[in-house]
Amino acid sequence: MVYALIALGYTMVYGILRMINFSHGEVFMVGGFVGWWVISGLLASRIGLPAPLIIVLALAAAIVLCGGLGYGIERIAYRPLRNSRSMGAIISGLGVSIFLQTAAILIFGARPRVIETWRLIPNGWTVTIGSVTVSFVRVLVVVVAFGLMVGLEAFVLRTKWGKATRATAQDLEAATFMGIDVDRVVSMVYVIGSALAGIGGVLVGLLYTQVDFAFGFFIGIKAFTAAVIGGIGNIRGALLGGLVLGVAEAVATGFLSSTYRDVITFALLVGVLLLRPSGLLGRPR
Amino acid sequence: MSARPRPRVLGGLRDAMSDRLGGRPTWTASAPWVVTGLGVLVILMMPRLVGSAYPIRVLAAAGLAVILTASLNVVAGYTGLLSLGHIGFYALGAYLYAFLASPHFGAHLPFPLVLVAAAAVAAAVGLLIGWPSLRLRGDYLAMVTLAFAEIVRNLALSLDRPINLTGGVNGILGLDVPWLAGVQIRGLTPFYYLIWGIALLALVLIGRLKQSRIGRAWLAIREDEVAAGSAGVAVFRYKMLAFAVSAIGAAVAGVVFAAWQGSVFPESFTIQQTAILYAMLVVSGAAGLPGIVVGAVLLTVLPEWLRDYGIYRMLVFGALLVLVMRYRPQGFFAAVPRRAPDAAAEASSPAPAPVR
Repeated sequence: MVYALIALGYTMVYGILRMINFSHGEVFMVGGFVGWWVISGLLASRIGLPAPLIIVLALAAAIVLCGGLGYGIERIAYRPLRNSRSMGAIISGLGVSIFLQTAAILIFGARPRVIETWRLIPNGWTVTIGSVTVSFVRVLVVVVAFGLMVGLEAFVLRTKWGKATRATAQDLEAATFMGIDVDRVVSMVYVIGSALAGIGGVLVGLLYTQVDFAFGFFIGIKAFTAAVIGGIGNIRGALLGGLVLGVAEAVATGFLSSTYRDVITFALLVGVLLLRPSGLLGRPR
Repeated sequence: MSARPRPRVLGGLRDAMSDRLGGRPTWTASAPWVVTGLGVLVILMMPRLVGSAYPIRVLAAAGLAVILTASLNVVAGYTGLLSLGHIGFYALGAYLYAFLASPHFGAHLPFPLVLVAAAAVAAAVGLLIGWPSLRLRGDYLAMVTLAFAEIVRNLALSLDRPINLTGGVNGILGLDVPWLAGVQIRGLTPFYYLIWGIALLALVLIGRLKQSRIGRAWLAIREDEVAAGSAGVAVFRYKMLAFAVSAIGAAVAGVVFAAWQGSVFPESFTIQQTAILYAMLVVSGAAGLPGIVVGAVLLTVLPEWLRDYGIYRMLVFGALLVLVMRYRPQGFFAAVPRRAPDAAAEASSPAPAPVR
């Protein structure tokens, strides 16, 4: 489910621009660090805020900062290249990704920073559904991911902005002719996608209890894989893909060993591309 | 090949060149053979000109980068496919040499044989990966190849248990000293010549390929896949071919790298390396193969100079990648972006002549 959360962001950007946002994983990493900074700062500061408020504050900070970061990245690295061949934007994204990773090393150091989740949510808190017991943090991730999916879908399908977004996704030029401010729509999509990545960063940081500079890259690849498996550009597909990938990895780790986890991810990706190139829920183009 | 009349500034010669390149003349086009000849001469004379070992070592590394970049260019430059897995094939070659010519498994195959084997394996793996992904949109290829490179590195890192295949983090040490045509290649200078010999050979071969029917098919696919297909180019097959050729180049470079270092470690093959290869391509731009040599040498030597600045180097590098893509999407040495001038001309000229 962790993947699903980030896959949502990939799917948003890809659905509109047909472009892989290579710096997405790094925005997610920044979200994780923002979460670490807010949480450990507030825990150390003796103000004694209640735990849920700390988490909400961390999430809010991540949404604002990552959203802003996403806006900046789009303006600087992607918008000037929108009309060039796709390779330019991807290399540019790779540049952003290297830049952010290096900046994270410079600011936070290369060693992982610990998020003291247990001081907010006691380890003993679990939720039992039938015979399965899950930690509270995991449930939180699932609920938030599901909530965001419903919210996003409502936004895209019900609002005026959502309509503009869909029009832009269908045909950017035609949307311009219809009087849609495409630049603003694209900016908004990046801000939303990056804010989602920020939320993901905080929650995954809580779940893994640590963040480091390389944290975004792998999860980013996995999340993109999840988005492709589910059908990229499809909001529900992102969730389904994340679920499928998570289950497959858990099964692989359980029955084989964690060594082969990444191989399974890759095999799954290739398999889906072979059999259903548009993904599980994607409509063939 | 635009038929639009251009202002005659420097007479026919310049016009002829600008027509051939579809833009103003680039610096490589102005004196290709003189520059190339001088370049080769300088490269070959280097060990005699320079007394100390360090510059030669850096230049030998640059030679490897030339092989890697030139072979990556076949896929990314000529055919216009975004492969992010080039370093994976490089790792494949390096580890094959470690498997087949070291005390690790007790196999000691001769160097040329390993080169051939690595080329064959890389081509096969390349086709295997290309088969599902090359049918699809270019972006999927980027993702699959990226995943491939990361998986090769992960396997190299983690296949030391339960059976020690790759040596894990510790890598494989004590690789054989290669023999080639009865000569033992030991020490820096012989390797320098071996690397640059292969690099020049690769450049010539790839250059010839580009001129051939195959190369024209690749360029056609890059420019317009659908048009190429309807003109009778077997798009999928030529894409596969480009992918295999580039994989072979990377694997050969990997074998030589492993033989030179005498050891292999997973950490030599990170995704950052692929990004650097792309940076080399970007710097060389559309200037063709000589441009690639300049790009590869420049971006190998420059970070060495900047080594004192440590991590800041990568910060600048990332920012540079973004800025170059923004302001010079066709590279430093390409004098003009390839498509922009036509659009500009159309905008400025009152009545564009519809000659076709």
